[in-house]
Amino acid sequence: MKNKYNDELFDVLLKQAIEEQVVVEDDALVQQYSQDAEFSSGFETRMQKVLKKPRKLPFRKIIAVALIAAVLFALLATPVGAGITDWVTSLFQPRTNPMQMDVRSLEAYPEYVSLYNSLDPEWDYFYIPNHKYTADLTPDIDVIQNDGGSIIMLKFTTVDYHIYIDQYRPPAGDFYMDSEFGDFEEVQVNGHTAFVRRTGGDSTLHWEDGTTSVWVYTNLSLEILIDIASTLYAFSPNG
Amino acid sequence: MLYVLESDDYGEGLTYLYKEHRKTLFNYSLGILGSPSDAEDCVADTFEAVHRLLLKSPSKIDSWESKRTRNLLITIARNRARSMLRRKNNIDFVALSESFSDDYNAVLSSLSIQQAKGLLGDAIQELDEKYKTPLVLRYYHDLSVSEIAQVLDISENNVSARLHRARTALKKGLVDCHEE
Repeated sequence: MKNKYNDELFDVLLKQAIEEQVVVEDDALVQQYSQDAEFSSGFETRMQKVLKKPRKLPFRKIIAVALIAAVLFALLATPVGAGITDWVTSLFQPRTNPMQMDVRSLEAYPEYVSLYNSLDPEWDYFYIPNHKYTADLTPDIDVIQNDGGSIIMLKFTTVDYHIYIDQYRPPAGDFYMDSEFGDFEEVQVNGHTAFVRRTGGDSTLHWEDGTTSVWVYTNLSLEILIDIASTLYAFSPNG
Repeated sequence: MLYVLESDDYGEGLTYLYKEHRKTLFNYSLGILGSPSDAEDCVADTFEAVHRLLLKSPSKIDSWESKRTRNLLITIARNRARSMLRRKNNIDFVALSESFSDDYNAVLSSLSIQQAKGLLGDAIQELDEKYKTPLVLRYYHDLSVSEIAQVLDISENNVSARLHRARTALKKGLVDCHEE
């Protein structure tokens, strides 16, 4: 129940009432309290400092700002600072980075070693998963030749689920995603941008490292799909 | 800002204010706090607050000798002394009720300007200092919410809340005084 006119009138009256009252009150107060006062011996010295304070305060602020600027410059613009910055940045890197080579015992992966040996020389690495849903399974491996080169297909299958990982190396600048069956949603996987979508019963995830285009398909949930993708690492017997 | 800080007028003005009002401020604070050392702290804090205000808004003190400037010092000292006393004695102030019927519209419409101003003056006198101080700084000294926050050393949200509660209490007071 607001009344604009009354609110404005109220403000005007309030201002006038306060003005009249404070002058009367202050006059009475000054009359009542203007008698002599005894200050302690150090008070005048203290007040001299208080009264001079505006001259010192900005100077201190300037010094503080200059110090902060110098520290920031040292951190960001000098070689030592760059090293520190890199080190700090590395602390926030994901522990499992699918872009990094991860050479493990070759005996553990005989099927991948033989795959590697059968591939064209251009394949200096390919991606394999390291996930609980694939750990105990031996993948079916297919390599298909087409005009653009080899397509590697890793298939992990059980009676309950399947996980397919396809990867190929298209000509430079020829990466694409087919949006015919629905739009992709952008997600982050280990700090890398990937794209996911659900079509029918399968979920699809796609990402690229600039050389290799990787597609992961599964009938498991989208969360598990992203989890599996986050364990992919580049396999290369040559290190 | 640097020009103002280096200005002789500024330093001389502050020194003038201090010499002119220190006894009144000290005695007044002493009357509230009862301790000379606390009263000295209060005077020093008052001038620190004036510094903060001048650093933020140098134009807020138009004349060193005006009654308005004198009131600014008294208002700050009163607020400071009362908050020191509150802290010392651990006094809890009861929050004002914000809910009351909005029929002050009807009351305000039925009164003459002089009657309404008189009733409002009575209601202001009844107001707790905690709420009265921001009101005086806002309506008498024309300080903004952020400037009041600077002077009273409280948050802007706190200032806004106190102003809102003060206005609410005054409207309620207006209705109550009218009914009596």
